[in-house]
Amino acid sequence: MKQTEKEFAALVKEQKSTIYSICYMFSKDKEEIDDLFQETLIHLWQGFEKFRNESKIETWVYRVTMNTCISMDRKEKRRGERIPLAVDIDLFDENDKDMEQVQMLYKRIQKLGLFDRAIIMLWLENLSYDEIGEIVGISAKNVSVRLVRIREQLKKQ
Amino acid sequence: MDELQEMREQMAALKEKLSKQEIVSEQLMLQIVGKKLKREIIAAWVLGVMIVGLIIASWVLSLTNLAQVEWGRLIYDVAMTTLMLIMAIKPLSMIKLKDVRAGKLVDVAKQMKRAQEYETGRGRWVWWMFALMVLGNLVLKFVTENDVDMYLVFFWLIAILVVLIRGKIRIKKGKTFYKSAWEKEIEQIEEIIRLSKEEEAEK
Repeated sequence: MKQTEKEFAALVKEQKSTIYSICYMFSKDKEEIDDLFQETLIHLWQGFEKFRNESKIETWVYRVTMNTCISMDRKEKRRGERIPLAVDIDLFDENDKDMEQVQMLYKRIQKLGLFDRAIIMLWLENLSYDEIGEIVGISAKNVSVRLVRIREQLKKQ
Repeated sequence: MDELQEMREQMAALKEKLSKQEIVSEQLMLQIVGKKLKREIIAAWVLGVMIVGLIIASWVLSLTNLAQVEWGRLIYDVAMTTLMLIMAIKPLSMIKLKDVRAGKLVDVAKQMKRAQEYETGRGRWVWWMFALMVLGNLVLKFVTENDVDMYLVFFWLIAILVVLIRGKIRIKKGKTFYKSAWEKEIEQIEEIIRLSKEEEAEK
C-alpha cells in the first residue's frame, strides 16, 4: 500500500464514527447510509492529496461529509454499484432497547431542515461557533442565532 | 434537561455503539474508492468526447462545403453550434469548483440556484432559438433538396439530445435540491443575516 493510501486509511479509521453518524442523520435507511458513506470516502480521497493543512483535518472531514450528505443526488447515485459495509448493528431497528437513545436523537434531528441538521450535528461534535461557521459558510454570530432557533424548534416538538 | 444537552448524551451513546464497529476495512475502503472513481471518470470522458466530437463534426461539415454553402448559411451553422456550447457550458461554469471543494454550502447553493434560473429563465430563450434554427434547417432541406444539410441536421439532433439529457438531469437535480431544501434555507440565512445587521445597526 502506498504512503498516501496508508495515511488516508488511518484518517478514515480515526474519523469513521463521526462520518458514519453524520451519514446516519442524513439517511432514511441502511442502504442510504452505505451510499452516503461511500460517496464521502470518494470525496475525501479526491481532496486528500490537495489538503494543505490550512484548517484542522477534522474540520475538513466534517466539511466534506456535510457537503456530501446535503448535496448528493441519492436517486442518481443509487443506480451505481454499492459495496456493503461491515456494520453489524441496525441503527433503524426500533425494537432494540439499547438503541432507544440513538433513535430518539435521530427522530429529533430528522425534524430539522438540512441546514439546521448540519449545524446541530457540528455542535454535537463539540465544535466552536467559529468552526461551525467556517464549515457551513456563515458567521459565528449567525451560528448562535441559528442555534437559538433550533433550540426553540426542538422545544415545540 | 435542556434539549441540546440531552442530544449530546444521545450522540455519545451513538458514538459508543459505532466505536465498537469495524465499519470499513482498509481493503474495502480502497475497493470503494477505486471502483467508483473509475466509473465516474469513464462516464465523464464518454460524455465529453461525444459532445466535443459532435461539435467538431458539425463545424467540419460546414467548412468543407464552403464552396457550395452560402455565407449566410455558414454563419447560421456556426451560430447553432455556439448556442449549443453556451447551453452545455454556461450553467456549469456558474458553479465555482473552488467553493464546492471548500464546502461553502451557502455559496454553492446560491450558485446552483443562479444556474438553474439561467436554464429555466434566460436560457429558455436560447433553447427556443435553437429549436427554431433546427426547424428552419429542416424546412430548407425540403425546399432546396441539399443533401449536406441532412448530415448537419442529423448531427445537431443528436447533439440536442445529448444537451437535453444533461440539461434535464441538472434541472431535475436543481428542483429537488432547491424546492425541497435550499430555497427555504437560503431565505432563512438571508433573514438571519438581515436580522444580525439590524441588531448591529441598533447598537
